[in-house]
Amino acid sequence: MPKIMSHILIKLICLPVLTLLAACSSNPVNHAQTREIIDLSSANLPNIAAEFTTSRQGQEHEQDHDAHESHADQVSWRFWRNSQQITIERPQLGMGELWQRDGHSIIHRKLYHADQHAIEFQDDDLKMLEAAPSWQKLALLLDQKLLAQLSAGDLEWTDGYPTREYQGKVADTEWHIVMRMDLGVPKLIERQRNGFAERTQLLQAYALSAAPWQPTPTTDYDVIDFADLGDKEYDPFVIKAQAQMGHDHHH
Amino acid sequence: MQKQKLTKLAAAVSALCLTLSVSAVADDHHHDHHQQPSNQVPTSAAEWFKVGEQAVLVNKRDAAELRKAKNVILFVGDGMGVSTVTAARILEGQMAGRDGEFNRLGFEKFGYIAHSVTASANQQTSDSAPTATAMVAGIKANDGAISVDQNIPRSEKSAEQHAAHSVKTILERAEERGMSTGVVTTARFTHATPAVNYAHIADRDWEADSNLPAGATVKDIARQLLETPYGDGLEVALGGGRSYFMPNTVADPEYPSQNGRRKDGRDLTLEWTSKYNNSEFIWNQAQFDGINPARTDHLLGLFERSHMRYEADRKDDAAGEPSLADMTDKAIKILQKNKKGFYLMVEAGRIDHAHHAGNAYRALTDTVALSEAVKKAKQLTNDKDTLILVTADHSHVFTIAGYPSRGNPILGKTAVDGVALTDSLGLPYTTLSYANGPGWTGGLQRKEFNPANEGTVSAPYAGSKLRPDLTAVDTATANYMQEATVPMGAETHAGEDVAIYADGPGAYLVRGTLEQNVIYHVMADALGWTNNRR
Repeated sequence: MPKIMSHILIKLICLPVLTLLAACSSNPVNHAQTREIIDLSSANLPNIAAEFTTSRQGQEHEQDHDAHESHADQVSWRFWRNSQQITIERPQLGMGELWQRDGHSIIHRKLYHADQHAIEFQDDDLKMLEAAPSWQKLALLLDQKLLAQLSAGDLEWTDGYPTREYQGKVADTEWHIVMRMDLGVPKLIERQRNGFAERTQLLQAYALSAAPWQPTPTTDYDVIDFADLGDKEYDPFVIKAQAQMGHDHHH
Repeated sequence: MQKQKLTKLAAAVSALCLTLSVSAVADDHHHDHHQQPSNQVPTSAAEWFKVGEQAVLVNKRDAAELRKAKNVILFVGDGMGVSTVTAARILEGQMAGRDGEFNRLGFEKFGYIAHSVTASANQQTSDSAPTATAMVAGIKANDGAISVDQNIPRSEKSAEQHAAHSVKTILERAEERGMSTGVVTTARFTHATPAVNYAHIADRDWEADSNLPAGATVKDIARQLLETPYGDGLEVALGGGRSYFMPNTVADPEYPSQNGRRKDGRDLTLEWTSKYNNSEFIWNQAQFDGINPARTDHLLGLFERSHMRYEADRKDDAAGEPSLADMTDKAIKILQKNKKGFYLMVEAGRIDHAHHAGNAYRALTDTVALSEAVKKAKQLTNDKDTLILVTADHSHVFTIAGYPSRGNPILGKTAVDGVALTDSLGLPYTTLSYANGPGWTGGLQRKEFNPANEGTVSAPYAGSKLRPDLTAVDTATANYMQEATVPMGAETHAGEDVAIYADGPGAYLVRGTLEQNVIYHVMADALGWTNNRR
């Protein structure tokens, strides 16, 4: 059940995507040329809540023969960020994830809302899975190293928002990214490779304190340590969760 | 005639050599009860022969016969099968620049060894609960059972039923006799192996009250530690699992963003210090270092919210955590104050977790840490009055394969004289691998997690062969996941026997192939509970 984390970042979130939305322009965190342009490497990114949609088309791998699994997904998801906590929810799937920064540690929980369960990953687990992300990568939904490899455009103003466009090809993948430079989140991430395309688009963004929706409360969830999964082979929830995680072996 | 003379001469020389050899061993034995084989690697046939001969002579020493043990220390490597011991032995030697194959872990130098049959009452391949129960309670039990017999269902919620089916443990019997007792682990203190010493519950997962099913009257495992009715309770309790002892309204001292797990509002860490005189609760390295064993009679140390860090990662902990050897040292110094003796279990609890994750590096480095803890125990005790047993609760499907040259890096790719061997596909492979687990590479059928729909998506690695090409992969890094044959979310336990290593009074009873529950009876016998010992 390796590497699920890196996918949560690199694909879902870090999924290249592009486009931005019309809806974006109607969001509450809007207006004004007076908006502050933030440094994407800043440790103090704005506290925000946002909604995205991610769609995929085609087969990511040549050998990807399972149409059911590989075609035309479209998932909306929500994102809450403050300096110490990042929450992501995919309501239509009943799933989510929680990242908390506590001192030098990052604590991660994968949330299974329908089952009222969570799987918690400690620092060492994330390292073992080669899925220990930087906080900045989690917060931006993108790896700054990726942005550094792309061609960055000039700062532009779109519907009153400052944006910057990034484009280029990295490791056989074409990227097109538009960042909201006042919020420090992607407005659009597009990724294309060998007939496969993935597009993540910002639908709405709010100041965290003004968010119209809140993360699902999880205080009563049954939290299982990742390290304990191997000793819970009899647990129906664990069996289901492990089946979802796949077999990602990085070599 | 000539031939006959030569034969007689040879026999005489042989007899003389044997006499000298025995004499030398006897002398060594006289001066050093723990005489061990040389660490010098033999370099010739003659030297190999001599070393083999000496090993037999060492084993001919008299057993510790019927001397009574005052103290018993039971070391448990959770999931430490024989292949794990072998690979750890090689890794430790290679990391020290020695011949890994000739290296021996601390406990491998013990004079007595036996096989332990780990099947539980209802499992061919067992989990840690019934196997640990077997060791400390002397019976075989069912899956998930914490020191209860095989006639109680895992779903049983009644306290009365638990009382009827509980089996007294060696720790509890030691407390009844006025001995001091302790448990040290790198896992949660409420995890199965440590829990079997002081708790009685049908389901190992009921660690805090928040884990109990609705309507349960049986006490959760953490609570049972504080409410043990035997003697004056445990003198030493060191491990992880702090959150299971703290209320869900109280912030963790090391991770303030996280709260405890208890719903009953009880803070068992505070109850520990209020219940016992000269008691301490500690949770970080500085506090641990500040503990004076001479002035501390009841020590509770919980160094993580959940399991303690792997030995390989311990240095990264901001609050600091003691090593297993450090905790063993502190525990023994506290327990030794009791003239009636002590019982101590020390568990390397995370060997098992690393194997489940398909990560040999952490499993092996935690095994080496266990060896260091055993060495520490040997330093602090006398083999005339202290029985030390080292064993595992069960094995893992972990193998050492191929035909690598002696000295080939154990975490590396199988090679002969530095030239990588290849499989039938022409690809290099590692010496260490698993029969099942997350390291399944799966070729074109491999799937990985797809966050877009929380399902899986086909994701074969680059290339067209059925395995990844490891040519450019550094398989010796700490985070490398060894390949597995059968795809499973977590690697599994294995059902073959594990080893028991023994030293001290009663150690001679450890021989042959023993059912795992015999371990309890060896300890009880050594302590003189079942017969008359000197």
